Amino acid sequence: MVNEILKELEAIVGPDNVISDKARIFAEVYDSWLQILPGKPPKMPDYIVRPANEFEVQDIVLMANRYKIPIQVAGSYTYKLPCFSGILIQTSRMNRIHEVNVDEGYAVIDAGVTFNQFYRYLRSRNIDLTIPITTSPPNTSIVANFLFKGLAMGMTSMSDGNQDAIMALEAVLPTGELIHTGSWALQTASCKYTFDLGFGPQLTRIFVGALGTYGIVTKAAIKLWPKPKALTVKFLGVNKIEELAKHLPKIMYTKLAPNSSGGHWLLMVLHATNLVPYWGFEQNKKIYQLTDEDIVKMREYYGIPGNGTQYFYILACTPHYVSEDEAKICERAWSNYLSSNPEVTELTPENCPGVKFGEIEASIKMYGGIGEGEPGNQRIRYSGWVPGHIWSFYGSSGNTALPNLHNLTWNVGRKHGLVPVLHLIPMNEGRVSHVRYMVPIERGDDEGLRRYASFFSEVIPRVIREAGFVPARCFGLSAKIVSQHMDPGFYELYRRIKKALDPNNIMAPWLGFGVPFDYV
Amino acid sequence: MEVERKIPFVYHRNIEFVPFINHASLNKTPREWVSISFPKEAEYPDLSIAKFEAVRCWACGQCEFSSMATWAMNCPTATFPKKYRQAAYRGQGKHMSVLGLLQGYIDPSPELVDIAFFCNLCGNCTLQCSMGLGSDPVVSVMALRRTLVKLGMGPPPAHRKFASMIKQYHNPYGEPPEAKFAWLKRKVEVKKKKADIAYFAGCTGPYRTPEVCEATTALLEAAGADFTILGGDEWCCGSPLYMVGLWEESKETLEHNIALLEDLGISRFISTCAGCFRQFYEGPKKLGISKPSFEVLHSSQLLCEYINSGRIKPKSIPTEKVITYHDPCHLGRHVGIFDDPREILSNLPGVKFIEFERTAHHAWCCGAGAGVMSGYPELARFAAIERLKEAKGVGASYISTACPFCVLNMKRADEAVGFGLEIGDVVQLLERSLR
Repeated sequence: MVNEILKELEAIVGPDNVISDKARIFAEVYDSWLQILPGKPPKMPDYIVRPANEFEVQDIVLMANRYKIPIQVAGSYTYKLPCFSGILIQTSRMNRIHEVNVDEGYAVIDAGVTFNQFYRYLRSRNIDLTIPITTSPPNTSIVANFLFKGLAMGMTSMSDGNQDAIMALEAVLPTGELIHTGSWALQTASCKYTFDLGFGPQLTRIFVGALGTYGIVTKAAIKLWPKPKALTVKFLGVNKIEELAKHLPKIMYTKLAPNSSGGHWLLMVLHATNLVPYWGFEQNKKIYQLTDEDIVKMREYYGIPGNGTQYFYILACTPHYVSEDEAKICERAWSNYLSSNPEVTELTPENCPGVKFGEIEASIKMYGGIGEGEPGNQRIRYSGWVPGHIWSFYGSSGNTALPNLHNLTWNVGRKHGLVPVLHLIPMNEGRVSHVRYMVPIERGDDEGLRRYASFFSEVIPRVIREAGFVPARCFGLSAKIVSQHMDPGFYELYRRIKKALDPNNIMAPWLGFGVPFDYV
Repeated sequence: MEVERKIPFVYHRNIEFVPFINHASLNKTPREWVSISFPKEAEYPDLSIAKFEAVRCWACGQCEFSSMATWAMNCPTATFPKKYRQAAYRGQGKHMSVLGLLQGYIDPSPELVDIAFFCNLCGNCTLQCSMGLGSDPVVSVMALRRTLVKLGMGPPPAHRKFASMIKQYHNPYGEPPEAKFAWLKRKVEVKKKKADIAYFAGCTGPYRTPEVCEATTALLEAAGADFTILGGDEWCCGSPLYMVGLWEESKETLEHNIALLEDLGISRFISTCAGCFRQFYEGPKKLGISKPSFEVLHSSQLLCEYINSGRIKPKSIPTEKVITYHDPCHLGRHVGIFDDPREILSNLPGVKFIEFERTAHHAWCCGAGAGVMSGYPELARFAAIERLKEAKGVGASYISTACPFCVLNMKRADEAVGFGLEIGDVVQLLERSLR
């Protein structure tokens, strides 16, 4: 049967677009983030298939149903969900930009179009529009990122979550039918690509956050926004997590700085948790040997204000769409805000000498599409992407619950000798916080990796149960814990939809809730 | 013998890269921290050098781009349509293959041979990663190639063929050694003792692009240089052998050439070929040979010196062509020579010059090197055509470069697609300006 499946796949997409040998599959899916942990054998599909269009996707899905073999879908697979067996569909060859409508502010793109490709397309045609900027690498799929709830959105994101940028979808259902959602479903609609609520329920949403378990999205109509004319960028500091939880959502909710982010001082230099291993290296200590006193010394070395190990920053970013003059009004508003909130300190080269503010501002502007460089240019990433850190867990938290979440995570981390560093992006106009923890580890160091594994398995259940944390990626340990606390009604609805759409349970049966624990 | 990190921590000279915070030890490499051990390390000892690099890889895949050329694809193998954006064929995949072998999750196989050898070793991946994680995929590729060679599974047949040619004829083309300097029309004393300069012609130059060699000797003569050549005793530099993992063979041929040059007592070695230059410049250290007593220079460096000292005085070139410069990987990213060829071009009066979009540190590889032209001609042609398209895109009609191997590959591609671009070496333009 193996040969028959291979032959059929090759007939559908062409022999060059099927990978069936172990070496190349391994190179494609091996997750060096986590599978470097001792004793964790790789999870690998049997085939990687690269269809060129929705019709080839349909053929693959129909074939998988016939053989009852699982399918998982991924973008270019740079960020990895585990794929345990069967067929991994990569969308990288589905990379057509079908339409960019400048007047109505939308684009229709294939599922495999990357951020890089799209920015280059807009630039080459002098189109002064953009999409929400994320911190994803430029070679990742826009559609996959947005469907993944868009939680990786960056500081100058212009929506409340990138999933809001999706206005209609084309998808192949697990049984092979090609469907459209939103107004796209009405063939006569004049707003096919621009209105998700034309009629009936918002079926687009069932594909958001479903990790491909409800079908394979092949095209999307996405919103485009104007590039701002100017940005006002403020660097603020507060002493306590309670103050961060109060002020960051507030400045976003009041629209004083609608595109802001914040976090622990170690991230003030933008993803520079790499400094922790370097600091340890200078002290001749491994990360897990760094004491609280060492962290305090490090803070003082970099000229970051505050006391003790904790200090928090806010990068407040206000886009001005009409003219640069808006920036003057914004300055006055900031002046009022700071004078009436003395616990908030404006950070400047005088009181915070270690940070290159001008460089950060230039990078934020670049992210916002202003000035030199490409939005999504990895200037920011590159300052931080050095050996020795790992994004640990992502998810959301109510603002008032933030202090509890942070204190719990920090204390569990320190117990294991680690330094969990908070990064925060308020969403839904500041009503909720998207939280990410970055934990520096020394990759390649046995003890550090063991400690990281222990930290992770302790902190995930505790933050969900004790701090009300909602994990963004519901698979593995997170899905297991979430399933134990889930409203049975929700789970039943989820299960029924899944069963109705995917009667043979072929769509990534290892993802989602209530999966057999062999997969956890 | 060792595989060294080759590419310096450098950025495009026009775009200042500044980390957001100053730190005394940001450029230190904490190799000491890698204490992890893998089950199969004893089985694959040549992979140990790559372990440090491989564990640092995040598999982000950014090694296939040029970060500073607005994220254009910049890895020929990962851009090649049949392997388009397959992880195995970008730097990340090489690291993963190393880890897979070391952990025992994969075994040596023909597909792994393809992964290891279907690569130009252009070093774009290493450069891109040097601005981030600092893991060096080129080290992993070399370690994989060496491992497969030792296991008897590599190199691929085409590489074995040129290796046997080098053994028999001392050049990879199987051309008669005595005909190596058949192109030479001027009178040059062969193996002249105590000459100031030895001109090492290489193999591609004399046998395939003799006009490049001819221009070089003309320029040396015009500058009044005291120079010699090795004649039929000049062997292949061994660079292609090194690149495909045949290190013993590479060492043997390099040692022969160095011994010959040292015996002559020359002061300076020059080569127009970027591969030969790199082999003499870095090879001794990599292959465990003592450092030569003579200075190793690329022809562009020496000619720059001659222009600056007034020994060569370029005149206006009567051409309407817009000239661009293609950085050979072995000269640019591998060794760090970007400015000298450009300085030569900037000294040619009346020349209209334009840069590629992917240029200098971020240059697109022409696709010829590291055994690809012989082993995977389809990749070599694809990469060269991409470069020609880019030249047309920026409005250039003449592609200058500083390596006869690049000239050869791009010329062949141009003949195939009929773009009508002129392709030549910087030395040819300079020589033309003296006429």
